Amino acid sequence: MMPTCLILTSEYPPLVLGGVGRYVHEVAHRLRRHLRVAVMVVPTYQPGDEDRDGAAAADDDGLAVALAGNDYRQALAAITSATDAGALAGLGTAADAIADRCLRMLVDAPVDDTPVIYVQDYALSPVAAALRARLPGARVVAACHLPVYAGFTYFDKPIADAIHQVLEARLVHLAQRVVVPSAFAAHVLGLTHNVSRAKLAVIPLGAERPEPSKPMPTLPLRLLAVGRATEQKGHHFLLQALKGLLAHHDVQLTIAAGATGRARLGVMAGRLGVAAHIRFEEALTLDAMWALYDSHHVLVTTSLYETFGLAVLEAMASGRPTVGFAVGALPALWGPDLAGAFGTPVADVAALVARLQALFADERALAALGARAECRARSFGWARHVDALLEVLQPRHVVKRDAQEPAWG
Amino acid sequence: MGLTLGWYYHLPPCASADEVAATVDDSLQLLLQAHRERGAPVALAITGSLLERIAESRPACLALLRAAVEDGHVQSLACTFYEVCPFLVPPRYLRMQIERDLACKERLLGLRPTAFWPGNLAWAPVLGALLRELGLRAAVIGETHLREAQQTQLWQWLQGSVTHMGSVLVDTLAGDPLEGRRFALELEGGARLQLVMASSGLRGALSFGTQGAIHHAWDDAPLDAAVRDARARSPRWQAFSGDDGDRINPVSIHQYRRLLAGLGPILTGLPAADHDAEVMEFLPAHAPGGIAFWQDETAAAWLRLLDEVYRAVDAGAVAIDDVLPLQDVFPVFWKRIARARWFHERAWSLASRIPR
Repeated sequence: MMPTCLILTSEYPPLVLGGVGRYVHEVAHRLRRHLRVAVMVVPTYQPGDEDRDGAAAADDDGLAVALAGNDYRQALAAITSATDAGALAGLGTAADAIADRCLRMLVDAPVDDTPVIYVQDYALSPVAAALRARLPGARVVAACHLPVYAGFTYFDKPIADAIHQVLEARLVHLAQRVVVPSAFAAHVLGLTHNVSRAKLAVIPLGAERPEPSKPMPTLPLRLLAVGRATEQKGHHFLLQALKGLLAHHDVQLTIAAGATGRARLGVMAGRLGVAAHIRFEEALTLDAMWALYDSHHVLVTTSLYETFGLAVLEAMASGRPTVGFAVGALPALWGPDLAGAFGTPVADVAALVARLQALFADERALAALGARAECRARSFGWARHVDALLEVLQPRHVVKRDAQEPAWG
Repeated sequence: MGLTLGWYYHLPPCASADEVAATVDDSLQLLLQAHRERGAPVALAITGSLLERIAESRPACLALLRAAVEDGHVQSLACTFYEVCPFLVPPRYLRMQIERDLACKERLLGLRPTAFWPGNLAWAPVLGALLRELGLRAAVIGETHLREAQQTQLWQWLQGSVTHMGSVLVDTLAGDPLEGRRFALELEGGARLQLVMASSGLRGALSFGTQGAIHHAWDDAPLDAAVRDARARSPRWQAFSGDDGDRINPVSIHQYRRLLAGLGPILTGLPAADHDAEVMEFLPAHAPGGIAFWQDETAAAWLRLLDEVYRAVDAGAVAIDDVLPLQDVFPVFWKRIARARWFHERAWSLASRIPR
């Protein structure tokens, strides 16, 4: 009998805000080959779908997926201070209700099965704690996709209170193992929450195209930027760079920033006089994302803090150069051969414009860099991620590794 | 008249090479470039211990800093070599910490500082005379500290009982705005130490936490309001806004550049000696969070261990160079943090060398 894995997440298609939802979808389906997988989706900082709140459902592939309503999200929003005992108690009550629903999802599990709970969002740490109280033998594994860093706040979250740090600290200390996507993220967690190295598992994410990448499109030059409309993504620098480029080139910029991005970024683009050169893409499926990469020459990243860079990896897997600020985990993702060609100093718009201009001046070099990026991206496959993840979720699980696999770092 | 901007940088000796690199690449470098582009003056207090690590791992940044000091738009301030709490360190070690910092800055930046920024804006009464002896003419102090130092104690008798006696502290400044007022500390022999008051209000408005105007990369309004206010007050206004906790980062640099552009000629270096300053005779010990926070039971246990290490130094069993990093405030301020182990392991190892 296969052991059970319950994935607790705040994002899952169609409730997808960023890379986390896509990650959970990919991993859940791959883990099913080895584990009995169930997914509980609990909205945390974005509204869920009240109509779908109910008994466990199944997604299009028969995976057990349940969507909680908005009670937990509302309880979370009611916390105005990390020491607000009443609101924290309310959150605990909402967490208990979800934990009970999770138990009902696991009702078919074998009696001697000790499930593993794989938590994707620090805001769900009270749910994980409530579940562990009900299943004392359960193993809790936390995924920390975007740990906070000194000097930065919890981007696009309400910033008035330390509750986010409290919830994140609670999760990493509750968990037996903590999965992070990069050595940079591991370093950050070590500093901020004193997580020991032995507890941390660095498992880079993956990117695999369903079909081979396409050749570069025809002119005019098309730039792509992917990321939610938050200050962390540095769109203000991106738009300044576009203005600089337009002085010399006919350039089109596509910004895939989610449904709410257009309004905020549109105003900014209007102020800089570059709005006519920008196209906004709203929520996209992963299949549509591949087509988007194919129809652009270069992915530009002006992110100011990056613990992995999934869109960067996907663009590389599509044979596209990815140029931008060399922050956080990106230099390691590019690898030593490409970091120099792709990375520019953070917040230095002039350097970014100069790098892009140099690329545009030589189409053959552009294509060659794209090919090298694609080659680099091949070392980041989902199968490899899942193999490493299985060793963390089920320590007895032994994966036969390919000795020829290139290094991640 | 005008506004002086100041920043304080320190990393504890347990900080990794990555932390030093991030501090330089994501903060100090951005700050220096922004001031160079605008030719805007700034006061910088980088602890000597961090400066040495920057010299080692980021020599290009050190060269940029040295050039900025030479051309005058960066005013390098003295501090302690490691970030110490002055009233927790024996005076002879406190002197050593400042002397080493001064020597380090003279060597790496080519200029001996003339003003002092105590880490955390903490103070001990011994500092006044010590700073003057070392040739320092000014010290940055916090507005809260200055207000506390102006309080006077009134005794109250017969509160509810003939045996009961209490006292209250009276704020003699009565909440008056202090920006623009100038203070100096009078020392023995008539010497004076100029006190540069770091404005709490300005720090809150500009840089503090995540609320200050520079942290809102996509919202110009708070910064525009702060700039308008500063420009309106500038003709008769002298103020210092310094931050010793929050640093410039890739998010805040955008508005910080706008701040420098908006303030332009209002920005000045630290004010010159002012003989008309209001003179104070005593500046009491101070540290944010209150003295009790720095001397609670956990901190006291650490300080007792350090006393043993000092004994080992006096016995000739331990080199002073090994002790100075242990005086960093990290294991006192972050007393429940696992990284404090770095300090405890070293201190126990050194204390064990005392001859029995």
